[in-house]
Amino acid sequence: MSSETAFFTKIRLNMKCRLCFIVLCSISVVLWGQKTSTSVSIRQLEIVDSLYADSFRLQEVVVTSVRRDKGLKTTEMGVTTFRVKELERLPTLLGEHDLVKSFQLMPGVKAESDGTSGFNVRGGSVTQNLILLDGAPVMQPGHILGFFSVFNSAALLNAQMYKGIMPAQFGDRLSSLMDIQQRDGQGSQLAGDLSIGLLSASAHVRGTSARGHFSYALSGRRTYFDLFLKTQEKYKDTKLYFYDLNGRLSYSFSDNDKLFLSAYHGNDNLGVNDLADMDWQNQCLSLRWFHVINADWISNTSLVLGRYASSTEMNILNTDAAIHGSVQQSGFKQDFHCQTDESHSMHVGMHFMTDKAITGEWTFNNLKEKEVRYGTELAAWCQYDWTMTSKHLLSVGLRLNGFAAMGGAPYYTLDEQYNIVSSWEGERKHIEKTFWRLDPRLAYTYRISPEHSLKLGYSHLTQNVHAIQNAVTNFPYTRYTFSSNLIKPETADQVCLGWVGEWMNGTYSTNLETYYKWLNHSLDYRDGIGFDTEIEMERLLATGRGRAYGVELNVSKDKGRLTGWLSYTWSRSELKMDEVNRGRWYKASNDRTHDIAVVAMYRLNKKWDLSANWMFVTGQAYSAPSAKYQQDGKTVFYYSERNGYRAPDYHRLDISAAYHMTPKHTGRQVIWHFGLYNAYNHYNPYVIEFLEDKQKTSGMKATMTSLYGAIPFVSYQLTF
Amino acid sequence: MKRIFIWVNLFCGLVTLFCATSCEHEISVDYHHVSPKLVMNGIITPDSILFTLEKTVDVTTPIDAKVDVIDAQVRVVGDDGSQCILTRQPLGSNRFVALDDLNHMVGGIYGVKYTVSATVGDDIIEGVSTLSAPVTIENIKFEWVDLIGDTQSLFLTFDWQDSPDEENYYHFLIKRENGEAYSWSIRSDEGEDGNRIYALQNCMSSEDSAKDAPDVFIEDGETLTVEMRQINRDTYYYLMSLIVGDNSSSNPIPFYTGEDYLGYFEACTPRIYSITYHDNVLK
Repeated sequence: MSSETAFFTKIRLNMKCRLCFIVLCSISVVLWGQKTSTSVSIRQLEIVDSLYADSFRLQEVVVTSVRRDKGLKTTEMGVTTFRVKELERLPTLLGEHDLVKSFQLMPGVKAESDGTSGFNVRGGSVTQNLILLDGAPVMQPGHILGFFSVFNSAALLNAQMYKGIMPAQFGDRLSSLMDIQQRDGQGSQLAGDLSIGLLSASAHVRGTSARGHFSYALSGRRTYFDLFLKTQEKYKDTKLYFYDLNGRLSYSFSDNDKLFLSAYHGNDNLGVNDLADMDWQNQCLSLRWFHVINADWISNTSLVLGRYASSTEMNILNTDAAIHGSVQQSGFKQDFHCQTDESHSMHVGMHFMTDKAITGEWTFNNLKEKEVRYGTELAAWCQYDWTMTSKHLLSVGLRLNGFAAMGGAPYYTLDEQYNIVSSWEGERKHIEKTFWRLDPRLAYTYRISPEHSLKLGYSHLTQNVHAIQNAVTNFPYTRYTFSSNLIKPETADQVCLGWVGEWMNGTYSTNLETYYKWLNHSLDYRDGIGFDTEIEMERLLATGRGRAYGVELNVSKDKGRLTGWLSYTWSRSELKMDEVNRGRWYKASNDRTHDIAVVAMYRLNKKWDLSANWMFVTGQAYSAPSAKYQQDGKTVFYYSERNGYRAPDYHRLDISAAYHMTPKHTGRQVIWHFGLYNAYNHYNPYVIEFLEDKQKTSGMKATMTSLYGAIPFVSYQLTF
Repeated sequence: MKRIFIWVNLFCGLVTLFCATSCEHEISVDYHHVSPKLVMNGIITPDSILFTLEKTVDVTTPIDAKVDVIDAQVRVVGDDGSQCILTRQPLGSNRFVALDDLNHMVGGIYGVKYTVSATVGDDIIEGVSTLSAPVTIENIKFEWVDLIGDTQSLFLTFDWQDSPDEENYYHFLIKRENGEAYSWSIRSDEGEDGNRIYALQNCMSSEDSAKDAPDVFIEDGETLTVEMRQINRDTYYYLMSLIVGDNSSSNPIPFYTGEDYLGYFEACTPRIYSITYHDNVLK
């Protein structure tokens, strides 16, 4: 269920039986706390939590798993929902409850590697995930060194990930949708949290005006590792920090109208003396007008902006170098939602976006190069959900995607060696190339019994915003461009089949899904071509097709003192391009055969929560040399195949404990988090290098660098 | 321009290692076997023509393991009508040189475009290069640069004057006194047409020692040579792809016709400069 639906439910309740609903919810919460089954949906509880958090305090009385969207009564496939409050029970790195790291414990979602917050979903690349924060696109989800994602959990309410069939309201990414809603200030005059960890501190305040029309929620977070560095003379000019700010304001100017303003700004900065400076920023802004047209129809009208920019500057001796890049999407979105009864629900809408990407702006002493691309997107959709009978549910969606590559920047044609044959620059408003694509979605659920459902789905997705990452480091040197006369829209067709089951009165649930994806116009580097070989991005890229398939299993225990889940994924992800690997199929770098996660949370008593997670992932596919030769006195490696080798497997155990206390003299809740990340100190692969070693007979060696060993942590959280 | 990311990656690596509880250790890899590929490297200068024909060896085989390339012939043809067939010398080796007494052509001439074709059994390898003018390095010195904390890095810096109104590409090879290769790099005059061009080559860090980093460590009093060559555009892009491939684990773009042949050659007029490192270079 989308956030729009949540508000719809709420307003409808306002209009019809809000008081009755609240009373029912109160009773249900109490009953649920006594381990009695309930028909109240999680989303309804979220609304209550959001509105009346101080009154109900669900997390204090209910022992529950993080994952509760069993999806028995919906057509949704491959959907995971997290209530961010519940993340507090999961083990964390350095005391930070990280949304992205939590999703990575679910089947089909894999961390890119240590040191990043990027994630791969069902064989897709990091840049094929659509991440929305209150409707605004987030281009780059990671902070420095991947310790943290850009999402400060203190500022968030909940998040959903669609890795299967995405509703037609969403598009323009091939792999997944992560739809995140920020917390707002409803329900309290003044409340908040203060958290202090080893590397960072965050604060969150929220409140509502006396008459309840206006509410606010503001959060801030900053790392302070650099402050420790500055205490030492030799590191005093070193910069290493990030901060981020979240805000959400809402104003009800009538019973039927509400305005939301959400904003995010994040900044990372790394610097060494006057030698080098690297920073990157994420900005998101959304303004949404929620309007109840009548008892059946609601409208959401939004203005959104998402921007990501990175910058690196270096000055060594007589050499000045700078690299800048950015991508921005801004526009207007209109969605109408109609729900005439429990059986029929429909979304109809459109959006119009303008896109701008500085694919690269480089300075090297006197040399300056820059490539800019402009684009315009127009999309219209219709999504219809129909509960045909108590056993048959159907969702049908159709999205029309239009994209125009706009003038105002040079376009060119290439010969077979990727040399520029001709180039031209049209007027800014001139359309250079237009693409229209129809993206159908279909999902069907057959309820075998009240506890078991079979599901089937198909989707076609189109992506016009393309990105390639630097293949050498994990720092966020992502270059963005758009579909053009040379790059066609990437497309993906996915079919999936699933089974959802519930056991022992809902104590256990099982979700089994299998999928197959066909990818077209996928992008990868050509051999011998790197991130910065040319300023013109199209000259770097090979295009081809891909396929990804797999089976995902999730078994969870959702009730009792011990909750948690076990997830397993078997998957394959492969690409085929004429210019790469001699035109043969090769494994994508995110191909991981086995992915296992075990998560356990145990409520010891009212004061202590214990948790642990263990994960195992088959090593990443990578390229290693198969032969070597000498050139100018140096050894050169010969690679017979791309990604033909496997890095050592990745596995890790994290453990943590949370101690809850409420000192009588303050009456405010305090939580201490203790834990150990990578508890058995297993060094996982980060970089594998092949180096000359004259002391060896072979003259070479392979070395593996790992980032994190065992890291203990403690953090303090005060809630007021 | 293409050098930017090499510096950036160096910087990222330093920060990463500095910040994380990182660990590096040797791993074993089960390398795949591939049938040997032909490798031809060579240089044509005004004074000599020298080519080597070799084959790749398995990763675990010593790099100097000799693989005979039999039934081979190497021919050099200039667009001025000159031509010669190179002689294997010494006999039985994989070196092919132009001998005065046989060919009356021992070297190349500035501005002449040379096509080199080697025939090895059924394989025919062919590449082209135009002999370029010499380049004069005007200043050359070592300099230490402060990095993070107490760490410093030693750079070899040098500069030369670029010829205006033409695309120029440069290749410099740094060697130790005994002729052993130390490092190499390339540079273009893009954005610097007709200017003085400065190059800097990272050598070693203040943390390196002869024991831990013998490949990069420079002894007090050791002399390095810089061989400066002006090269063709195609050679520049080949060498650039070699650098990229080294970082991204991919093969360079082919220099010769056909994807199965490795190596490259340059027709150039090299100039060699020497510099001695002393520990008392200002840190």
